[in-house]
Amino acid sequence: MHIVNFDPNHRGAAQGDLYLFKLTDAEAAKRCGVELKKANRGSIRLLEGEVTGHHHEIVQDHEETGGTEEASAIAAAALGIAKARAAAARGTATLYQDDNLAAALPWLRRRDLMIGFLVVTGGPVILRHPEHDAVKLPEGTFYVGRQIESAGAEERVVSD
Amino acid sequence: MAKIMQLTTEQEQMLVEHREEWRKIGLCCDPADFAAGDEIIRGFYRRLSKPDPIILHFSSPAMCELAVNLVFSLLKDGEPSQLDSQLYSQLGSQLYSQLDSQLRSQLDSQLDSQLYSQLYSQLRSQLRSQLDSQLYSQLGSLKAYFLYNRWGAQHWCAWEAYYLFGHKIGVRYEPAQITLLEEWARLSKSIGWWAPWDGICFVSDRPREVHFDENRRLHSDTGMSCRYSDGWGIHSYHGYHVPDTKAWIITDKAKLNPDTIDAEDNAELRRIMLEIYGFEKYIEVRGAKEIASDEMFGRPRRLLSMRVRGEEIRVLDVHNGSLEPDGTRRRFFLGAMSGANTPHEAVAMSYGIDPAVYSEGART
Repeated sequence: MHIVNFDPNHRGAAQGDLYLFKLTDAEAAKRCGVELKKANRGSIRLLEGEVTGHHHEIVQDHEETGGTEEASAIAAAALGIAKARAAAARGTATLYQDDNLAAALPWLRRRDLMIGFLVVTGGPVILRHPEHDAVKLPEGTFYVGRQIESAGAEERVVSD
Repeated sequence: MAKIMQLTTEQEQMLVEHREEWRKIGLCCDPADFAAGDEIIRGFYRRLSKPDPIILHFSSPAMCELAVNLVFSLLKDGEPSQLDSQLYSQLGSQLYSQLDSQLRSQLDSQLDSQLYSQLYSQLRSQLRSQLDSQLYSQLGSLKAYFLYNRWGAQHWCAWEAYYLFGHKIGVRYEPAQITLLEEWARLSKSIGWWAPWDGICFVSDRPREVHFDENRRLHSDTGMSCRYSDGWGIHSYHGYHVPDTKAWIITDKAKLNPDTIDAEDNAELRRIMLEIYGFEKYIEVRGAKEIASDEMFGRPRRLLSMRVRGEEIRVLDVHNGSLEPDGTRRRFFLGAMSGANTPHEAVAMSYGIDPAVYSEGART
């Protein structure tokens, strides 16, 4: 699994049809929404692949699993192969719904594309997808949304 | 025995040969040796202190699923007890942990990436998971009895290959452990998927065809990438599972034209259709003109304009942020939102973000 770092000089990062935009501290301070998903065993599924079954998901950043092939890590864990699977997790993440915050963000033009606000604490987490390089997200609050495209007179959500 | 700290050159060569031997086992398309499989399965039942089961053979996992549903619907007492979890706990997980402990104490070399991961990614991550998806999508009103209780045999053989290689180069396991491991290995060499219940066991044949591209991604551009003798199987395009309803993209390419391509909602399937039909041919037939272009992360982005049924359509021409195994990048045509005049604006608007603040510090 190749991991790309979130560039602190930019606020946004895209992984295919999923986009994350880091909120400023002032924007993040307004968050008061309800919790949608908390990391379950370190993972949160943000967006599901409708045909492929390949998901965009948040996983905890393990010290020694970053460079290993994902398939191996999962299988190894399942088979009890003791490698460094129990390495200490660094960060965790929670996904919130907060319509009031969304409405207060002037740069967010399409609230219907919003999946939620992802709050990363305690260290970085990994955004992964089987067919995209992973992105290492730092601590902070991120808008998470999906992509749309025009199809003549209609619109359609981009899906894989 | 002294701990093996590093594989010798000869052992490295053995590892490659061992891996390829097991790859052939995992991809074997010969008719199943049901007799050999039955014998091993009966042995497993005895190890669980269960009486010999009725063992039924079928041509594919799909036929197994149909048969399980039919048989269970006819049973007076309903579904018998599944043995999947018992099999796993008594003959699987315990064995794995014992073997692993022995292997790690005697071998200080990483076999994961050179052996285990390679077999796992091709057989289990790809082949098994695409067959799973296919079967799951076709269940309709059937229950997933077989799917949820099945063992993968040849498609799950990576772990057997892994521990057997250790044994081959001198790692010592307890005699009972190696005997059981060899039973599992013999089963993988004999049959396809199988699922055990108390008193009855359903066993599938192996596929008759399995096709991969040069990067070991499931692929066939003429028919099924994996086909069983009864015609059940899957279509895949360079690793992408093409659902049944869209299999015509592969089997009936004459239907591909700009209209059928534009009508496809799914961006990945549209990308596959464009790859087969030809991006440049599409541009030519549509009479598309470039109205703006730029670069992002060194990759070109273009905004194209074309007229379709008298209406102006704008299309964003972009490449994936992640490389394919062959070093290429997937190319996508996405319908640009109205009002976009540059690729940057089109991308920002596609995510619903004000183009004035939109940025990409990473794209994968």
